Amino acid sequence: MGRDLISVKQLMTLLFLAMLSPGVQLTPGWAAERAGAVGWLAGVGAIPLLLLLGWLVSALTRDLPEGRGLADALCAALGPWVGRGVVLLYLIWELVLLAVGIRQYGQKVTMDYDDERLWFCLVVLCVMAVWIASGKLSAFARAGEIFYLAIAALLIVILAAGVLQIDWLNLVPVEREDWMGLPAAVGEAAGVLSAAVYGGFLLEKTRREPDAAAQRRRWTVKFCLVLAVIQLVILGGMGTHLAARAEMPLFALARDMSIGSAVQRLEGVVVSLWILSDLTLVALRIWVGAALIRWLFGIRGRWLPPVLGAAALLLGELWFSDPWVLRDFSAAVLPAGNAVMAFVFPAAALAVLRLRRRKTGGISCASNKGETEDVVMKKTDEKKEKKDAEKC
Amino acid sequence: MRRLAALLLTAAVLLSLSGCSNPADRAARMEDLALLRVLAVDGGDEGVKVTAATGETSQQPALVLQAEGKTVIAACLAIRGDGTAYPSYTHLDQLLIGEELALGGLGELLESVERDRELRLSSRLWLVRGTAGDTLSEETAGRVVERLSMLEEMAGVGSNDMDRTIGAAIVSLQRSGATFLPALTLSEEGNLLAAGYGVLKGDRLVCYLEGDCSKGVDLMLGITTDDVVELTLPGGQAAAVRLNGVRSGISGEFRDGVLTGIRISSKLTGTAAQLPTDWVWTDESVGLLEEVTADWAEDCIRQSLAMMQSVNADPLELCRRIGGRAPGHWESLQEQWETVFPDLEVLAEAEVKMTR
Repeated sequence: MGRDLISVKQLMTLLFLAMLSPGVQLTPGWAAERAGAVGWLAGVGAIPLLLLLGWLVSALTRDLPEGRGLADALCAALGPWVGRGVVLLYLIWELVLLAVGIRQYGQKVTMDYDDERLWFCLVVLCVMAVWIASGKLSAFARAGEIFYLAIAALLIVILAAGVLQIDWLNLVPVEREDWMGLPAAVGEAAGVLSAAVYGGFLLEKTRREPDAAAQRRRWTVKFCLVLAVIQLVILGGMGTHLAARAEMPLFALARDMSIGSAVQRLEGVVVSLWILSDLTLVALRIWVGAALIRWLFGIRGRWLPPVLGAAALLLGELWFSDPWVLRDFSAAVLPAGNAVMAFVFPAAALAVLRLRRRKTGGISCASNKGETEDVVMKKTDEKKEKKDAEKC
Repeated sequence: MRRLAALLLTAAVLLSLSGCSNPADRAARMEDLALLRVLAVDGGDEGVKVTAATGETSQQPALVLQAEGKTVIAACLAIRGDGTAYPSYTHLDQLLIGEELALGGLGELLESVERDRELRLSSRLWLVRGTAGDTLSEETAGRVVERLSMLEEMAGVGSNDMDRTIGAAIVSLQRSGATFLPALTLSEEGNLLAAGYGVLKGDRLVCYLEGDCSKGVDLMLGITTDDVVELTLPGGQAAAVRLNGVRSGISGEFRDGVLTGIRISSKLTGTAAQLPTDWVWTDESVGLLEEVTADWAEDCIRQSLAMMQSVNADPLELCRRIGGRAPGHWESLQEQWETVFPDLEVLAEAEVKMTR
């Protein structure tokens, strides 16, 4: 019987695409503001923090069998009630991120269009994302691999054109204040990107591969280096002053890029292809949100993704319709919230899990009787074998 | 069933994006658009006066539109109330600034351009010696558009001066408090001629760098290509040298942490373009030619810097360039620059390599 599983490479491809949108939209301007000419190092500085995030999730889920993810790991560590409470917090934050993500997409596409088209663009994105999230994850992952190729080709063109436009006077000499602002820039970058922790809830649908940890590390480093080069091109091409003041520096830079004199104002092409990243992000968030609802409440049904999409549109309109509110939330609350979800809860859960394992075998969330995980798994496997035997 | 649903959904999305239904689509049709290529901004009675022109095509001459307003953006919007075509600034690639406006300050103009979603920071910025709007009459606009495109493409080549983008000017002003803009002048025949560079300090025009001073800028920034230089040899004979390229390094001379001088080391390559009739190509004569060319280059650089020192402006970001090479002195350099710059000793050293 085939299960809808994806490979680690496909999981990391989806996360790479999804994080590209907030990473490029939010971090370059902040990095320029905080760390000036060395702001491009924020991406590099975030590598250890994101590797730590990967290690925390890996350590929590290492001993779980295939078909179990971060939600089960949190439950096993913190107990059925506290564990479910924490997963509920993840779900609530996920909905907030979904609403923010949709609105940030709206900001991007209305950069060159009237605001009157905003709702049309948001609804189209939501409909496409819901449609993707309603289907199989493996189909989504395959589509993600194609999106990845398109974005990679675009990035090569932009970065090659951008590197040629770098003015070294924008990068040197470096002020002392720039170095002092670098830790804050690294923190903000890591805060934005640590939303990737939600990939841990997709582990239940990911095949267990022997080199999974090494793959995750490679992809994390690759992503951060790509982000660093993008920031370098932005700072080198625009300068700190313009990069800090631009709403979306990469797209502002693309506006001034040209390929010879044949193609000008590349920002239309860039935004069009970058929508694939937003689509992946929103679809992934809807998918994870629906999975969390199923896990928490046992609710199933194909209506979950459309309801989540509609709820996110409504939340976005109620809370983030003012672009200044969206900007302030993205700057002040979003990185901190992500950091709590990515580091505080997993670290606390891991500490408790290790303590529990010294005393007991860990408690399963699937059991109401406080049975340990291996007992519950054994019962589950026995049930499954019985079902398969009946079918045969 | 899923494929049918996907097909219908895609069709619905594509049809609604095609412009067939009007509610979400108010964009003008292509034939109703006037794609403005050049914008000239001058001081006006109300505040600012703008003159904009499209390019000339085989079917129609260049369209010239004018408007006034309290701000640049207000004037640009007011232009849309004039004429039958809808002016679009998305293809604007040249911005001309009048001298009077430059003397009053360009801060507001540059700020507006930086924030506008239609105007590009990569558009070229030119300073017109006189009224910028006068360059864009019904008779001359088409020619001016072509001329500016040529000046942009051939910037730094031959006798053409360097071009400058709006973004580069903004960044330079923010970093060093000064910048330079290529200057143009309108001849009696209605042609735009290169006229050196205008120096902005703060955001106001303070002086022009003309003739050898402007050559000094080109040499220091290393953007001279295929320029012909007329020289007078020691015997009073005339000669001409074609400069193929130049590379310059800018560094500072420090004594006890205090900047005492600027050293500009330039390496030029050139070929003899015209020599006296009795010229004999020997090592000695080539050495003489190289020495005279080097003296000329050094003199241009010294004149250029002397002019900048006289107004205490650093449009070439010399402080930053020196700081880049001596990062240990960067902080003290920023503190002392404004005080010491006018009195700095200029050490210009040019090395010329001549080929047949």
